Amino acid sequence: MIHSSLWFKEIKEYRKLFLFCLLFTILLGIIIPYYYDQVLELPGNISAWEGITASSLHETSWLQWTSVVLLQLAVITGIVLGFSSLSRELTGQTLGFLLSKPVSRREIVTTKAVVGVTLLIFYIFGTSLLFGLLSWKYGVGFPGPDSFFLSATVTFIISVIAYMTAFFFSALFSRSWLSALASILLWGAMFIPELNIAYEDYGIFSAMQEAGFWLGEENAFIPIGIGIVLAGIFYELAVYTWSRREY
Amino acid sequence: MDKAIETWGLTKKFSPKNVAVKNVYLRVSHGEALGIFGPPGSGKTTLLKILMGLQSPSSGGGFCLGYDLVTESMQIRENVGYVANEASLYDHLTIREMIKFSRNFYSHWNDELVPRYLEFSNLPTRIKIKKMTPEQKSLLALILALAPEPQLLLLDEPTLFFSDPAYRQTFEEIVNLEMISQGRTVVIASRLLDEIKELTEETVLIYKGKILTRLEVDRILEDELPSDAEEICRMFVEEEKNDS
Repeated sequence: MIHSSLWFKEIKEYRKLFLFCLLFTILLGIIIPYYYDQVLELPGNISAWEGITASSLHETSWLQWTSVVLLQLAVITGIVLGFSSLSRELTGQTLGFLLSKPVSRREIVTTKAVVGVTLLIFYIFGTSLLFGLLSWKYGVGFPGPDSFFLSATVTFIISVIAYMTAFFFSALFSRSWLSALASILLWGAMFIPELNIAYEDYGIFSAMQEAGFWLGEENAFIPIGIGIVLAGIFYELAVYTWSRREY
Repeated sequence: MDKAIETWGLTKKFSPKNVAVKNVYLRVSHGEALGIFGPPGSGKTTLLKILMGLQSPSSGGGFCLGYDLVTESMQIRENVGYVANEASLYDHLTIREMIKFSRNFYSHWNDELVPRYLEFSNLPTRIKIKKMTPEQKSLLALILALAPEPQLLLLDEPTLFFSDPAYRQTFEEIVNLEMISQGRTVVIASRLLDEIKELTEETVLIYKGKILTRLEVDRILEDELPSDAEEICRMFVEEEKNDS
Protein backbone atom coordinates (compact mmCIF):
# COMPACT_ATOMS: atom_id res chain seq x y z
CA MET A 1 0.00 0.00 0.00
CA ILE A 2 2.95 2.33 0.57
CA HIS A 3 5.28 2.92 -2.35
CA SER A 4 8.91 3.16 -1.24
CA SER A 5 10.01 5.33 -4.14
CA LEU A 6 7.20 7.81 -3.59
CA TRP A 7 7.89 7.75 0.14
CA PHE A 8 11.48 8.95 -0.27
CA LYS A 9 10.45 11.53 -2.84
CA GLU A 10 7.85 12.95 -0.46
CA ILE A 11 10.23 12.99 2.51
CA LYS A 12 12.79 14.87 0.45
CA GLU A 13 10.16 17.27 -0.81
CA TYR A 14 8.88 18.05 2.69
CA ARG A 15 12.27 18.08 4.37
CA LYS A 16 12.78 21.85 4.37
CA LEU A 17 9.20 22.71 5.27
CA PHE A 18 9.22 20.21 8.11
CA LEU A 19 12.50 21.52 9.48
CA PHE A 20 11.16 25.05 9.29
CA CYS A 21 8.03 24.09 11.27
CA LEU A 22 10.15 22.23 13.81
CA LEU A 23 12.63 25.06 14.29
CA PHE A 24 9.86 27.65 14.48
CA THR A 25 8.10 25.62 17.16
CA ILE A 26 11.28 25.09 19.16
CA LEU A 27 12.18 28.76 18.92
CA LEU A 28 8.72 29.81 20.04
CA GLY A 29 8.81 27.24 22.82
CA ILE A 30 12.02 28.75 24.13
CA ILE A 31 10.95 32.36 23.76
CA ILE A 32 7.55 32.03 25.45
CA PRO A 33 8.70 30.56 28.80
CA TYR A 34 11.56 33.06 28.97
CA TYR A 35 9.23 35.93 28.14
CA TYR A 36 6.91 34.90 30.96
CA ASP A 37 9.83 34.31 33.31
CA GLN A 38 9.63 30.54 32.92
CA VAL A 39 6.61 29.94 35.15
CA LEU A 40 3.18 30.65 33.80
CA GLU A 41 0.04 31.26 35.75
CA LEU A 42 -2.61 29.15 34.12
CA PRO A 43 -6.12 30.50 33.68
CA GLY A 44 -8.76 29.23 36.08
CA ASN A 45 -10.88 27.50 33.49
CA ILE A 46 -8.25 24.94 32.57
CA SER A 47 -9.85 22.16 34.60
CA ALA A 48 -10.78 20.26 31.45
CA TRP A 49 -7.12 19.78 30.78
CA GLU A 50 -6.35 18.20 34.10
CA GLY A 51 -7.22 14.88 32.58
CA ILE A 52 -4.67 15.32 29.86
CA THR A 53 -1.71 15.93 32.05
CA ALA A 54 -0.80 14.74 35.49
CA SER A 55 -2.10 16.99 38.25
CA SER A 56 1.40 17.40 39.67
CA LEU A 57 2.35 19.36 36.60
CA HIS A 58 0.11 22.34 37.25
CA GLU A 59 1.48 25.73 36.59
CA THR A 60 4.58 24.67 34.81
CA SER A 61 5.70 26.13 31.55
CA TRP A 62 5.80 22.64 30.14
CA LEU A 63 2.11 22.08 30.86
CA GLN A 64 1.25 25.44 29.35
CA TRP A 65 3.37 24.60 26.40
CA THR A 66 2.05 21.12 25.61
CA SER A 67 -1.59 21.75 26.37
CA VAL A 68 -2.04 25.08 24.65
CA VAL A 69 0.81 26.42 22.56
CA LEU A 70 2.01 23.18 21.02
CA LEU A 71 -1.55 22.14 20.32
CA GLN A 72 -2.23 25.25 18.30
CA LEU A 73 1.10 25.04 16.49
CA ALA A 74 0.47 21.36 15.80
CA VAL A 75 -2.85 22.16 14.12
CA ILE A 76 -1.13 24.81 12.01
CA THR A 77 1.71 22.41 11.16
CA GLY A 78 -0.82 19.73 10.20
CA ILE A 79 -2.49 22.15 7.81
CA VAL A 80 0.85 23.36 6.40
CA LEU A 81 1.97 19.80 5.69
CA GLY A 82 -1.35 18.70 4.22
CA PHE A 83 -2.88 21.53 2.23
CA SER A 84 -0.85 21.03 -0.95
CA SER A 85 0.04 17.37 -0.62
CA LEU A 86 -2.03 16.18 -3.58
CA SER A 87 -2.82 19.40 -5.44
CA ARG A 88 0.91 20.15 -5.71
CA GLU A 89 1.23 17.32 -8.24
CA LEU A 90 -1.31 19.11 -10.40
CA THR A 91 -0.01 22.67 -10.02
CA GLY A 92 3.57 21.45 -10.48
CA GLN A 93 2.45 19.56 -13.61
CA THR A 94 4.10 16.40 -12.34
CA LEU A 95 0.83 14.48 -12.14
CA GLY A 96 1.01 13.24 -15.75
CA PHE A 97 4.46 11.81 -15.09
CA LEU A 98 3.40 10.18 -11.82
CA LEU A 99 0.16 8.70 -13.12
CA SER A 100 1.91 7.27 -16.19
CA LYS A 101 3.73 4.91 -13.80
CA PRO A 102 2.17 1.59 -12.83
CA VAL A 103 0.91 2.76 -9.47
CA SER A 104 -2.67 3.01 -8.25
CA ARG A 105 -4.12 6.27 -7.07
CA ARG A 106 -4.93 4.73 -3.69
CA GLU A 107 -1.25 3.83 -3.32
CA ILE A 108 -0.25 7.42 -4.09
CA VAL A 109 -2.77 8.87 -1.64
CA THR A 110 -1.84 6.37 1.08
CA THR A 111 1.89 6.99 0.75
CA LYS A 112 1.47 10.74 0.89
CA ALA A 113 -0.85 10.51 3.91
CA VAL A 114 1.53 8.21 5.79
CA VAL A 115 4.47 10.54 5.10
CA GLY A 116 2.54 13.45 6.64
CA VAL A 117 1.54 11.43 9.71
CA THR A 118 5.13 10.22 10.16
CA LEU A 119 6.44 13.77 10.07
CA LEU A 120 3.83 14.77 12.65
CA ILE A 121 4.99 11.96 14.96
CA PHE A 122 8.52 13.36 14.89
CA TYR A 123 7.21 16.89 15.25
CA ILE A 124 4.93 16.31 18.26
CA PHE A 125 6.92 13.77 20.22
CA GLY A 126 10.22 15.41 19.37
CA THR A 127 9.20 18.86 20.58
CA SER A 128 7.31 17.46 23.61
CA LEU A 129 10.36 15.52 24.69
CA LEU A 130 12.63 18.49 24.12
CA PHE A 131 10.49 20.82 26.21
CA GLY A 132 9.99 18.20 28.87
CA LEU A 133 13.77 18.06 29.19
CA LEU A 134 14.05 21.86 29.16
CA SER A 135 11.44 22.15 31.93
CA TRP A 136 13.30 19.59 33.96
CA LYS A 137 16.61 21.41 33.46
CA TYR A 138 15.09 24.70 34.63
CA GLY A 139 13.61 23.13 37.72
CA VAL A 140 9.91 23.15 36.93
CA GLY A 141 9.70 19.36 36.98
CA PHE A 142 9.86 16.72 34.31
CA PRO A 143 6.50 15.18 33.40
CA GLY A 144 5.95 11.58 34.35
CA PRO A 145 5.93 9.06 31.50
CA ASP A 146 2.14 8.69 31.62
CA SER A 147 1.38 12.36 31.37
CA PHE A 148 3.99 12.89 28.71
CA PHE A 149 2.49 10.11 26.64
CA LEU A 150 -1.09 11.23 27.14
CA SER A 151 -0.54 14.90 26.48
CA ALA A 152 1.63 14.37 23.43
CA THR A 153 -0.72 11.69 22.13
CA VAL A 154 -3.78 13.91 22.34
CA THR A 155 -1.89 16.75 20.65
CA PHE A 156 -0.70 14.32 17.98
CA ILE A 157 -4.22 13.04 17.33
CA ILE A 158 -5.60 16.56 16.91
CA SER A 159 -2.76 17.46 14.54
CA VAL A 160 -3.40 14.31 12.48
CA ILE A 161 -7.06 15.21 12.14
CA ALA A 162 -6.04 18.74 11.07
CA TYR A 163 -3.57 17.23 8.61
CA MET A 164 -6.13 14.82 7.14
CA THR A 165 -8.74 17.54 6.65
CA ALA A 166 -6.18 19.69 4.81
CA PHE A 167 -5.11 16.57 2.89
CA PHE A 168 -8.71 15.92 1.85
CA PHE A 169 -9.07 19.52 0.69
CA SER A 170 -5.89 19.11 -1.38
CA ALA A 171 -7.64 16.23 -3.17
CA LEU A 172 -10.85 18.20 -3.56
CA PHE A 173 -9.36 21.42 -4.95
CA SER A 174 -6.90 21.60 -7.81
CA ARG A 175 -5.35 24.80 -6.44
CA SER A 176 -3.32 24.71 -3.26
CA TRP A 177 -4.44 28.12 -2.03
CA LEU A 178 -8.06 26.97 -2.11
CA SER A 179 -7.32 23.95 0.04
CA ALA A 180 -5.29 26.14 2.41
CA LEU A 181 -8.20 28.57 2.67
CA ALA A 182 -10.74 25.80 3.27
CA SER A 183 -8.52 24.29 5.99
CA ILE A 184 -8.01 27.63 7.71
CA LEU A 185 -11.74 28.39 7.63
CA LEU A 186 -12.64 24.95 8.96
CA TRP A 187 -10.09 24.96 11.77
CA GLY A 188 -10.69 28.62 12.50
CA ALA A 189 -14.35 27.74 13.01
CA MET A 190 -13.34 24.94 15.36
CA PHE A 191 -11.63 27.44 17.61
CA ILE A 192 -14.49 29.93 17.79
CA PRO A 193 -15.01 32.29 19.55
CA GLU A 194 -11.39 33.12 20.29
CA LEU A 195 -8.74 31.53 18.20
CA ASN A 196 -6.27 31.22 21.05
CA ILE A 197 -8.60 29.59 23.56
CA ALA A 198 -9.15 26.13 22.17
CA TYR A 199 -10.62 24.76 25.34
CA GLU A 200 -13.43 27.29 25.71
CA ASP A 201 -17.07 26.27 25.51
CA TYR A 202 -17.37 26.47 21.75
CA GLY A 203 -14.04 24.86 20.95
CA ILE A 204 -13.68 21.39 19.50
CA PHE A 205 -12.34 20.07 22.78
CA SER A 206 -15.41 20.95 24.78
CA ALA A 207 -17.23 18.29 22.76
CA MET A 208 -14.52 15.81 23.57
CA GLN A 209 -14.99 16.49 27.26
CA GLU A 210 -18.01 14.22 27.07
CA ALA A 211 -15.80 11.22 26.53
CA GLY A 212 -14.62 9.23 29.50
CA PHE A 213 -11.06 10.35 29.04
CA TRP A 214 -11.98 13.92 29.66
CA LEU A 215 -13.87 13.09 32.83
CA GLY A 216 -10.74 11.98 34.60
CA GLU A 217 -10.29 8.38 33.55
CA GLU A 218 -7.09 9.26 31.73
CA ASN A 219 -7.59 6.72 29.01
CA ALA A 220 -5.66 7.68 25.90
CA PHE A 221 -7.46 5.10 23.78
CA ILE A 222 -10.61 7.22 23.55
CA PRO A 223 -8.99 10.21 21.80
CA ILE A 224 -6.83 7.77 19.81
CA GLY A 225 -9.99 5.96 18.69
CA ILE A 226 -11.74 9.22 17.82
CA GLY A 227 -8.63 10.32 15.92
CA ILE A 228 -8.33 7.09 13.95
CA VAL A 229 -12.00 7.19 12.93
CA LEU A 230 -11.94 10.86 11.91
CA ALA A 231 -8.58 10.60 10.13
CA GLY A 232 -9.79 7.41 8.42
CA ILE A 233 -12.94 9.14 7.17
CA PHE A 234 -10.95 12.01 5.68
CA TYR A 235 -8.43 9.57 4.19
CA GLU A 236 -11.19 7.60 2.47
CA LEU A 237 -12.78 10.82 1.25
CA ALA A 238 -9.41 11.87 -0.20
CA VAL A 239 -8.99 8.51 -1.97
CA TYR A 240 -12.55 8.66 -3.29
CA THR A 241 -12.19 12.24 -4.53
CA TRP A 242 -8.78 11.76 -6.09
CA SER A 243 -9.65 8.47 -7.78
CA ARG A 244 -12.64 9.97 -9.53
CA ARG A 245 -11.04 13.11 -10.85
CA GLU A 246 -10.12 13.40 -14.51
CA TYR A 247 -6.64 14.67 -15.30
CA MET B 1 -4.34 -10.03 -30.14
CA ASP B 2 -2.49 -9.09 -33.32
CA LYS B 3 -2.80 -5.34 -32.82
CA ALA B 4 -0.88 -3.19 -30.36
CA ILE B 5 -3.85 -0.83 -30.18
CA GLU B 6 -7.43 -1.52 -31.15
CA THR B 7 -10.32 0.77 -30.23
CA TRP B 8 -13.95 0.92 -31.23
CA GLY B 9 -16.40 3.78 -30.85
CA LEU B 10 -14.14 5.48 -28.34
CA THR B 11 -15.85 8.61 -27.05
CA LYS B 12 -14.91 10.95 -24.23
CA LYS B 13 -17.44 13.51 -23.05
CA PHE B 14 -16.38 15.94 -20.33
CA SER B 15 -19.79 17.63 -20.58
CA PRO B 16 -22.62 17.52 -23.15
CA LYS B 17 -20.98 20.40 -25.01
CA ASN B 18 -17.38 19.35 -24.46
CA VAL B 19 -16.74 16.12 -26.35
CA ALA B 20 -12.98 15.64 -26.61
CA VAL B 21 -12.95 12.35 -28.52
CA LYS B 22 -15.75 11.19 -30.82
CA ASN B 23 -16.34 7.65 -31.96
CA VAL B 24 -12.70 6.76 -32.59
CA TYR B 25 -11.85 3.50 -34.31
CA LEU B 26 -8.08 3.07 -34.26
CA ARG B 27 -5.90 0.11 -35.13
CA VAL B 28 -2.14 0.11 -34.73
CA SER B 29 -0.12 -2.99 -35.52
CA HIS B 30 2.79 -4.23 -33.44
CA GLY B 31 6.02 -2.59 -34.59
CA GLU B 32 4.21 0.19 -36.38
CA ALA B 33 5.01 3.88 -35.93
CA LEU B 34 1.91 6.01 -36.31
CA GLY B 35 1.35 9.75 -36.12
CA ILE B 36 -1.73 11.47 -34.76
CA PHE B 37 -1.75 14.81 -36.53
CA GLY B 38 -4.16 17.52 -35.48
CA PRO B 39 -4.42 21.14 -34.35
CA PRO B 40 -4.47 22.19 -30.68
CA GLY B 41 -7.64 21.07 -28.91
CA SER B 42 -8.42 18.34 -31.42
CA GLY B 43 -8.39 15.56 -28.80
CA LYS B 44 -4.87 14.15 -29.25
CA THR B 45 -3.86 14.30 -25.60
CA THR B 46 -7.21 12.93 -24.39
CA LEU B 47 -6.93 10.04 -26.84
CA LEU B 48 -3.41 9.22 -25.61
CA LYS B 49 -4.56 9.43 -21.98
CA ILE B 50 -7.37 6.98 -22.72
CA LEU B 51 -4.90 4.65 -24.43
CA MET B 52 -2.70 4.84 -21.31
CA GLY B 53 -5.67 4.05 -19.09
CA LEU B 54 -5.37 7.45 -17.38
CA GLN B 55 -8.87 8.46 -18.42
CA SER B 56 -11.91 6.26 -18.92
CA PRO B 57 -13.90 6.55 -22.13
CA SER B 58 -17.51 7.69 -21.80
CA SER B 59 -18.48 5.03 -24.33
CA GLY B 60 -16.78 2.57 -26.61
CA GLY B 61 -13.76 0.56 -25.63
CA GLY B 62 -10.58 -1.04 -26.74
CA PHE B 63 -7.37 -2.84 -25.99
CA CYS B 64 -3.83 -1.63 -25.65
CA LEU B 65 -1.19 -4.36 -25.91
CA GLY B 66 -4.00 -6.83 -25.32
CA TYR B 67 -5.11 -5.19 -22.08
CA ASP B 68 -8.54 -3.67 -21.62
CA LEU B 69 -8.40 0.13 -21.55
CA VAL B 70 -10.77 0.41 -18.61
CA THR B 71 -10.14 -2.57 -16.39
CA GLU B 72 -6.43 -3.26 -16.95
CA SER B 73 -4.85 0.18 -16.87
CA MET B 74 -2.14 -0.90 -14.42
CA GLN B 75 -0.88 -3.59 -16.82
CA ILE B 76 -0.98 -1.06 -19.66
CA ARG B 77 1.17 1.41 -17.72
CA GLU B 78 3.63 -1.35 -16.84
CA ASN B 79 4.23 -1.90 -20.57
CA VAL B 80 3.76 1.54 -22.10
CA GLY B 81 6.16 4.49 -22.05
CA TYR B 82 4.68 7.99 -22.08
CA VAL B 83 6.35 11.34 -22.72
CA ALA B 84 4.29 14.54 -22.67
CA ASN B 85 5.16 17.87 -24.25
CA GLU B 86 6.17 19.63 -21.09
CA ALA B 87 8.08 16.95 -19.30
CA SER B 88 7.52 18.10 -15.73
CA LEU B 89 9.74 16.10 -13.46
CA TYR B 90 10.38 16.67 -9.77
CA ASP B 91 12.52 19.78 -9.56
CA HIS B 92 13.89 19.06 -6.09
CA LEU B 93 15.43 15.74 -7.13
CA THR B 94 18.75 15.22 -8.86
CA ILE B 95 18.89 13.23 -12.09
CA ARG B 96 20.28 10.27 -10.18
CA GLU B 97 17.42 10.43 -7.68
CA MET B 98 14.90 10.81 -10.48
CA ILE B 99 16.22 7.64 -12.10
CA LYS B 100 16.02 5.76 -8.81
CA PHE B 101 12.51 7.12 -8.25
CA SER B 102 11.28 5.89 -11.66
CA ARG B 103 13.05 2.56 -11.49
CA ASN B 104 11.20 1.38 -8.39
CA PHE B 105 7.84 1.52 -10.15
CA TYR B 106 8.69 -1.20 -12.66
CA SER B 107 9.27 -4.92 -12.41
CA HIS B 108 11.65 -4.73 -15.36
CA TRP B 109 14.31 -2.05 -15.88
CA ASN B 110 17.28 -1.97 -18.25
CA ASP B 111 20.16 -0.72 -16.10
CA GLU B 112 22.50 -0.30 -19.03
CA LEU B 113 20.17 1.82 -21.12
CA VAL B 114 20.00 4.84 -18.82
CA PRO B 115 23.74 5.67 -18.53
CA ARG B 116 24.20 4.92 -22.22
CA TYR B 117 21.60 7.45 -23.31
CA LEU B 118 22.52 9.99 -20.66
CA GLU B 119 25.97 9.98 -22.21
CA PHE B 120 24.54 9.95 -25.73
CA SER B 121 22.46 13.04 -24.87
CA ASN B 122 25.28 14.73 -22.98
CA LEU B 123 23.11 15.01 -19.90
CA PRO B 124 24.85 15.63 -16.58
CA THR B 125 23.96 13.26 -13.75
CA ARG B 126 24.66 15.23 -10.63
CA ILE B 127 22.60 18.38 -11.13
CA LYS B 128 19.08 18.96 -9.87
CA ILE B 129 16.19 18.75 -12.29
CA LYS B 130 15.33 22.42 -11.74
CA LYS B 131 18.65 23.41 -13.27
CA MET B 132 17.97 21.55 -16.51
CA THR B 133 16.63 23.16 -19.69
CA PRO B 134 13.18 22.06 -20.98
CA GLU B 135 14.95 20.14 -23.75
CA GLN B 136 17.15 18.28 -21.28
CA LYS B 137 14.10 17.46 -19.16
CA SER B 138 12.29 16.03 -22.18
CA LEU B 139 15.31 13.90 -23.07
CA LEU B 140 15.52 12.62 -19.52
CA ALA B 141 11.76 11.88 -19.53
CA LEU B 142 12.27 9.90 -22.74
CA ILE B 143 15.18 7.91 -21.30
CA LEU B 144 13.12 7.16 -18.17
CA ALA B 145 10.20 6.06 -20.34
CA LEU B 146 12.46 3.73 -22.36
CA ALA B 147 14.34 2.13 -19.48
CA PRO B 148 11.55 -0.36 -18.61
CA GLU B 149 11.74 -1.46 -22.28
CA PRO B 150 8.11 -0.70 -23.10
CA GLN B 151 6.30 -2.48 -25.91
CA LEU B 152 4.61 0.77 -26.86
CA LEU B 153 5.81 4.38 -26.65
CA LEU B 154 3.25 7.18 -26.61
CA LEU B 155 4.63 10.63 -27.36
CA ASP B 156 2.52 13.74 -26.88
CA GLU B 157 4.12 16.62 -28.78
CA PRO B 158 7.41 15.74 -27.13
CA THR B 159 9.62 18.28 -28.90
CA LEU B 160 7.06 21.05 -29.35
CA PHE B 161 8.92 23.57 -27.23
CA PHE B 162 12.43 22.62 -28.32
CA SER B 163 14.34 25.68 -29.42
CA ASP B 164 17.56 23.84 -30.22
CA PRO B 165 17.24 21.53 -33.28
CA ALA B 166 20.19 19.44 -32.04
CA TYR B 167 18.13 18.29 -29.07
CA ARG B 168 15.21 17.36 -31.33
CA GLN B 169 17.56 15.31 -33.49
CA THR B 170 18.94 13.52 -30.42
CA PHE B 171 15.39 12.83 -29.24
CA GLU B 172 14.42 11.33 -32.59
CA GLU B 173 17.60 9.27 -32.81
CA ILE B 174 16.95 7.69 -29.42
CA VAL B 175 13.34 6.84 -30.36
CA ASN B 176 14.57 5.33 -33.62
CA LEU B 177 17.33 3.30 -31.98
CA GLU B 178 15.36 1.99 -29.03
CA MET B 179 11.86 1.60 -30.42
CA ILE B 180 11.41 1.72 -34.18
CA SER B 181 14.55 -0.19 -35.24
CA GLN B 182 13.76 -2.84 -32.63
CA GLY B 183 10.28 -3.39 -33.98
CA ARG B 184 8.45 -1.82 -31.09
CA THR B 185 5.37 0.34 -31.50
CA VAL B 186 5.41 4.13 -31.39
CA VAL B 187 2.49 6.55 -31.51
CA ILE B 188 3.31 10.23 -31.70
CA ALA B 189 0.68 12.94 -31.43
CA SER B 190 1.52 16.41 -32.65
CA ARG B 191 0.33 19.60 -34.24
CA LEU B 192 3.65 19.81 -36.11
CA LEU B 193 4.22 17.74 -39.21
CA ASP B 194 7.97 18.10 -38.67
CA GLU B 195 7.66 16.19 -35.42
CA ILE B 196 5.70 13.36 -37.03
CA LYS B 197 7.52 12.95 -40.33
CA GLU B 198 10.86 12.05 -38.77
CA LEU B 199 9.45 9.09 -36.86
CA THR B 200 6.49 7.75 -38.81
CA GLU B 201 5.42 6.91 -42.31
CA GLU B 202 1.72 7.02 -41.64
CA THR B 203 -0.51 9.35 -39.71
CA VAL B 204 -4.15 9.79 -38.86
CA LEU B 205 -5.73 13.22 -38.96
CA ILE B 206 -7.73 14.17 -35.91
CA TYR B 207 -10.04 17.17 -35.81
CA LYS B 208 -12.56 18.13 -33.15
CA GLY B 209 -12.20 14.70 -31.59
CA LYS B 210 -12.86 12.76 -34.79
CA ILE B 211 -10.40 10.74 -36.83
CA LEU B 212 -10.82 12.10 -40.36
CA THR B 213 -8.57 9.83 -42.34
CA ARG B 214 -5.39 7.84 -42.33
CA LEU B 215 -2.72 8.71 -44.86
CA GLU B 216 0.97 8.39 -45.63
CA VAL B 217 3.15 11.26 -44.46
CA ASP B 218 4.89 11.23 -47.85
CA ARG B 219 1.56 11.96 -49.49
CA ILE B 220 1.23 15.16 -47.51
CA LEU B 221 4.74 16.14 -48.51
CA GLU B 222 4.69 15.03 -52.16
CA ASP B 223 1.15 16.16 -53.01
CA GLU B 224 1.95 19.45 -51.34
CA LEU B 225 -1.00 19.18 -49.02
CA PRO B 226 -1.06 21.81 -46.26
CA SER B 227 1.47 21.03 -43.55
CA ASP B 228 -0.49 23.12 -41.09
CA ALA B 229 -2.67 20.83 -39.00
CA GLU B 230 -5.70 23.13 -38.95
CA GLU B 231 -5.60 23.70 -42.72
CA ILE B 232 -5.21 20.09 -43.74
CA CYS B 233 -7.96 18.97 -41.37
CA ARG B 234 -10.36 21.61 -42.70
CA MET B 235 -9.54 20.49 -46.23
CA PHE B 236 -10.50 16.91 -45.41
CA VAL B 237 -13.66 18.04 -43.63
CA GLU B 238 -14.67 19.98 -46.74
CA GLU B 239 -13.91 16.97 -48.94
CA GLU B 240 -16.01 14.78 -46.68
CA LYS B 241 -18.90 17.23 -46.90
CA ASN B 242 -18.66 17.40 -50.68
CA ASP B 243 -18.56 13.60 -50.97
CA SER B 244 -21.66 13.19 -48.87
